[in-house]
Amino acid sequence: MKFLDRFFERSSRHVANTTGRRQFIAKFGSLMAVGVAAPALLPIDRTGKALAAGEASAGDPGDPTSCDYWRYCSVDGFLCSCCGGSVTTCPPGTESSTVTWVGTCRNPADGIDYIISYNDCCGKHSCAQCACTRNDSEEPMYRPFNNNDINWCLGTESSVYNCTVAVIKGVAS
Amino acid sequence: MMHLTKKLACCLMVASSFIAATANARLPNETVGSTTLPLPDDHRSYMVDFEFNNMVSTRIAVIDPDKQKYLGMIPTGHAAPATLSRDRKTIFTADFFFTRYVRGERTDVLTAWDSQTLSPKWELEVSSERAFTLTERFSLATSSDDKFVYIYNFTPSTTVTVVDTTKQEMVNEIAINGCILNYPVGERRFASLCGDGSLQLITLDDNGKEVDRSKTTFFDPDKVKLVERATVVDETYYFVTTLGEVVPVDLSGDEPELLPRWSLVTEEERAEGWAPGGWQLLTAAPGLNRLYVLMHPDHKAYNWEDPSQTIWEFDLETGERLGTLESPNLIWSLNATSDDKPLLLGANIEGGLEIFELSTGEHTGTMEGVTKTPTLILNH
Repeated sequence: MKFLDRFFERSSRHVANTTGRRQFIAKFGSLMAVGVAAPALLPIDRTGKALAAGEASAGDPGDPTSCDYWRYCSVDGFLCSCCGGSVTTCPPGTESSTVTWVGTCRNPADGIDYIISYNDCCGKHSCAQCACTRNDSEEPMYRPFNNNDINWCLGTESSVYNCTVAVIKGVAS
Repeated sequence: MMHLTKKLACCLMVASSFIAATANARLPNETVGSTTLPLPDDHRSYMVDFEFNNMVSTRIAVIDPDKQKYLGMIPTGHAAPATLSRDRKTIFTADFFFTRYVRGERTDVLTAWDSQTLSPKWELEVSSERAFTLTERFSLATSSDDKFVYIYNFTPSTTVTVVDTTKQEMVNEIAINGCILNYPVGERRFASLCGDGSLQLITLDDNGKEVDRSKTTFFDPDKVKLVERATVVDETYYFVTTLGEVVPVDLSGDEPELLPRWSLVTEEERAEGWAPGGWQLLTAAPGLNRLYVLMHPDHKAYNWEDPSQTIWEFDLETGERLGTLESPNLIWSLNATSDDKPLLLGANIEGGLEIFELSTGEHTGTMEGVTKTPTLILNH
């Protein structure tokens, strides 16, 4: 959610030069959806169960509760890993969206570009923890699948947004 | 001397007795009253509060910016978009609610609020498809005669629900595949912005049935990012690209007329890093024929929706830059009133309202903390 660049935690490298922006991040909490940085993106019907969250490893480095974690390169919203879930699981009592976004993020450990599905977890109101936005190539809303000003809690029992996960779906060609 | 002192003492005793008697008088019993507002004047303002940290229970703050007075509040459901009737009597909101707060059965309604009592006059249940986005000014709109209200839906397929306010009936739902929003045009038309770079214009009859549809090539989405959050004067819409090109289109005729485009920034200014940015980042003051745009001095592509403290003022006819307004706080969305002595209003990121008197360019005040996360300001 680029519009919240000054409200959300983007990542330390983006905000480090403007302490003022952190103030805005602290003031404004949430928003929903997830956007996508890469072109030619399609929504993913994520009907399968997310894999259990893994601990940081040599092959998957970084802190999943930090906006700087590599998988969050196109995330926009609250990180489920701070909300009672994990990087791949929704918090207790929430439901993952069936329509979503994907992004392409480079894993610094192996240099491979992975396709990351950002699913919103829905059914409870804003988690309001670890707000993070790192979408650097958002498009206006006439390209909705490249826009993150939209709540993507669609096709779920409830359209109320709680947080967002980041699930590896494959390797980008 | 002694005589004067006695007189003074006497007077003081009488005065103190009177004060004591007054203080001991019992105040009359009271009853609780209610407040009814006058019909909105030119400056009545409505701040749409999205409240990111709880988008379930949202609101519109109703404000008199001249007196810097909070007039009242309209509670809305799930970040409802809002629009004002042209006759100033009604505020429409497109709400939805779950029976169990965040779960249970979802009910979508168009709510018609009385602009003087701030109470619902009527509501109409509509299909549960309303777009849930950061509040877009043109996701809910009225026809110029207030007969129709258009509701933008996103499921993610896109449609527009047409409500006849005179019958209080949902009379149509029109597919606008590949296009978004509903920019009202006159009594029986609305436009939508399409992902292929076209502008789609749909004409209705008096029953809300579609009688015509056309598409006009408008911009190249592979070359520019055209911000969908336009401003309108009469039936001419002014869009802006993320690099600062103003893209006007006159929709008053049978066919859209693409007007000459002009730039907010010179090449030198662009090279220095100047570019527009914000949520509702531009607004027009038709009484002065001027355009106001939030500008970033250090723009990067990824902050095209960020707030700013700097507002540039332009002559809408010539494109000449007339001046700069500076806000004490970061503003995310702008709106100017439509009268001849207009105010420029800004929603700051602290939830406050910034007020500028445009005849002088003076910043006349900040109403702090009147909302939580304001996304739009609406004026009659």
